[in-house]
Amino acid sequence: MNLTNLYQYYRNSDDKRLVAFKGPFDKYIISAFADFVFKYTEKNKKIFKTFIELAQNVAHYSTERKETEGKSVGVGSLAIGSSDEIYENFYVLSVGNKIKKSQFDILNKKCEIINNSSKEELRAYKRKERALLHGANDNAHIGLIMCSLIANSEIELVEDPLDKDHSFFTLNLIIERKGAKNSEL
Amino acid sequence: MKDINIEGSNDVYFVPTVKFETESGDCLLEGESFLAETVKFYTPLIEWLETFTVQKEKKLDFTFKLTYFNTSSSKCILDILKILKRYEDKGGDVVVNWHYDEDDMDMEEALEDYIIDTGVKINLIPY
Repeated sequence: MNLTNLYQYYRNSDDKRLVAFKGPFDKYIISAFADFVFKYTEKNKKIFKTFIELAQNVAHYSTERKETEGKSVGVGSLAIGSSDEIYENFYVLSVGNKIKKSQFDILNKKCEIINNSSKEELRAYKRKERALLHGANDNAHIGLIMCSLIANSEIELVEDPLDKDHSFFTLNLIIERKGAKNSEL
Repeated sequence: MKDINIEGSNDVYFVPTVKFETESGDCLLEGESFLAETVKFYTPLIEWLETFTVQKEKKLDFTFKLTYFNTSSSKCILDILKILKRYEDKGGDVVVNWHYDEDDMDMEEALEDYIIDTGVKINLIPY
């Protein structure tokens, strides 16, 4: 029997990639990867914090869903690269999931605002958005502001249209390797 | 009013340690906060504080030793700080201390933003 052959995947994977995953972003996966991310990035708090925010967004907002333990959880993808020739001394954190095109357009506009804001403007923007929050699941936008603030970098969005109404979007965030103190959380 | 005692854990989610003492007015929130149902977790804490600040006329000594909180938790923490500010404004004796890692600039900025948002005096205590 030869049900799965992982050699192609193995051969095509970048050696500098710490981890790649596709599947449901349930609580066990988020927790396990949060732990992994922290340990394998020299205990970098910035990548730990941004990973949790972005993973929660996949869990809540992906249009591809899977039932686990009676709860509907978003399916998506994750990749963390350690560095490459361009981004020496940086990590690249990438998450992606299926999304409605209309939602992607909204997200894209919000990221444009974030990317064109100074740090102080972002902090003011975060405070304004947080004051408007009403529930635990109403935080995708402020989560992105937090990610940009913590990473101190722009958010890159890439859209791959799937059909008339849906796209797959990838969100890339560049995080400095030495940006946080190496200490226990 | 009963004390609140919750032992923190980080098995799957990160549950902060909570110690709210009715008799002394000492409150502690410590650890990491990333929860399955954030609002459900924080609502009893917020209700406890609202009751305390109405029924009691005692000093409220709130110590934060949170090292991480996600966005959902940050909103609930904001609500806690607003209650403390209201108590202070009506003459209540309130002390807020927040211990944080001196190299964690993101945390320092988050605390500065809480001070701007609420007007409450937070003693920032780096370690």
